[in-house]
Amino acid sequence: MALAASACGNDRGPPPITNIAALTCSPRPALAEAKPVPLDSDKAVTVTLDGNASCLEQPGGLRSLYGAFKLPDGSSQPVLVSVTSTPLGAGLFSPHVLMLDERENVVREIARDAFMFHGNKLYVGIRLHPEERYLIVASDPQSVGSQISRITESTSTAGGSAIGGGVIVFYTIHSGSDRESNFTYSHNGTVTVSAEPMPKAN
Amino acid sequence: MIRLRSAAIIAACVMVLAACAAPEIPFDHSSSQDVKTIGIVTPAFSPKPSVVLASSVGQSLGLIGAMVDATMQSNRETDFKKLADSHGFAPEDVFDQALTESLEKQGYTVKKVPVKHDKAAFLDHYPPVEDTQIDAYLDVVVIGYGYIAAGISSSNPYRPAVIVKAKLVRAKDTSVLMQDQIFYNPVNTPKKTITLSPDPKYTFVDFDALMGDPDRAVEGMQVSLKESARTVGTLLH
Repeated sequence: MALAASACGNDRGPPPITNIAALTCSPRPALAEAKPVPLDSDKAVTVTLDGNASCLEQPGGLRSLYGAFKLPDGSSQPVLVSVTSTPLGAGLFSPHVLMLDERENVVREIARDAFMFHGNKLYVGIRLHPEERYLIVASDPQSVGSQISRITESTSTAGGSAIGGGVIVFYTIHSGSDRESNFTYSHNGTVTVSAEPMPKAN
Repeated sequence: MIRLRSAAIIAACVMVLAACAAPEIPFDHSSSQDVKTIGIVTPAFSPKPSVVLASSVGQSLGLIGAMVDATMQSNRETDFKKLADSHGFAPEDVFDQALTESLEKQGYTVKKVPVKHDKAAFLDHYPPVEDTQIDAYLDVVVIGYGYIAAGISSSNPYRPAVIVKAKLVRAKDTSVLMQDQIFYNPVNTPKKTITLSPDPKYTFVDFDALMGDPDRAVEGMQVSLKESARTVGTLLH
């Protein structure tokens, strides 16, 4: 059973998993059930990785939970693959990516520090290479357990009406809010992968 | 001089950056190993710091409220620029140094490519490669920098903010190798944009507090510009 770290939750959700020592892991990813990713950004594939997810043990004994994806092939144009990790409760899946060829050999690794924040999500865009057929999104054991605090600001508008002296007055009120979110980098979380033709620059 | 006022842009982008967002194009180091020398073309740079209230009472009062808001913002920015100038604050130098260091740290040779860059937009044309002998041009637009508060209450303090967009163009064929946008401390999360969380050390409960602590106020701008510049460099890793 995976152990969960105690943490202050931002939203309801499962606790962050930071210890997977008790899980049974494999030295190679299981690709038979890799989820196909269409070449269409509107058809992104989302998986939730929890304590029952597949576990990968890399050389040196480092362990990760992972999701496997089958990439589109045969495209005559450059392809952009997007990988996003979305917060789940107080946890944020800490990802890195392995790209594999059709023989299931790792041909490229996208390191953890290539992921950047988009709001409170972690994102990386990848130019797909012709020989790459599978994508593994695996937790990064070296960063799991560490904490991150992020400040986000937003504005909102509320409207209404009031009646007084036979006159109706419509009004709007603009206001701002600041929020500090605290996350624990975790082995579990929600991962989304999409593929699309490389957009044109402008 | 950038034609559009930075304050107007930063305020507009606070609200509608999602609509302005350009596509993100990731750099692929493994297929661009011939890029060893990067030429940083003179960045377009907002001419003065912005001090923006993203929501205010004036916004609820129609045209008159908007005019009052615009006047108050202009006054704040004039006062704040005087403060920054009196501290010898040179945002272009701060940004340039951090960007250059970030690229050199990754092994690139960096050259400066002086160009006329007077619009808050990427260049339409780049110098001929024969003239510069570089592999790729890094085109950077610092759309705005300064301070922003989400609202007027004490729980919405002023914090540093920077908006940058960057594009790497291969010199020999002008193909786009990378394009992205970076927003240090956005108000409302923009789409297709890297967002950097503000350093909580640089928090000012209101404009008077900002003006009353000039050393820290200027330091906050320096930190936010450096962090944004380093992030541009990181994109070319």
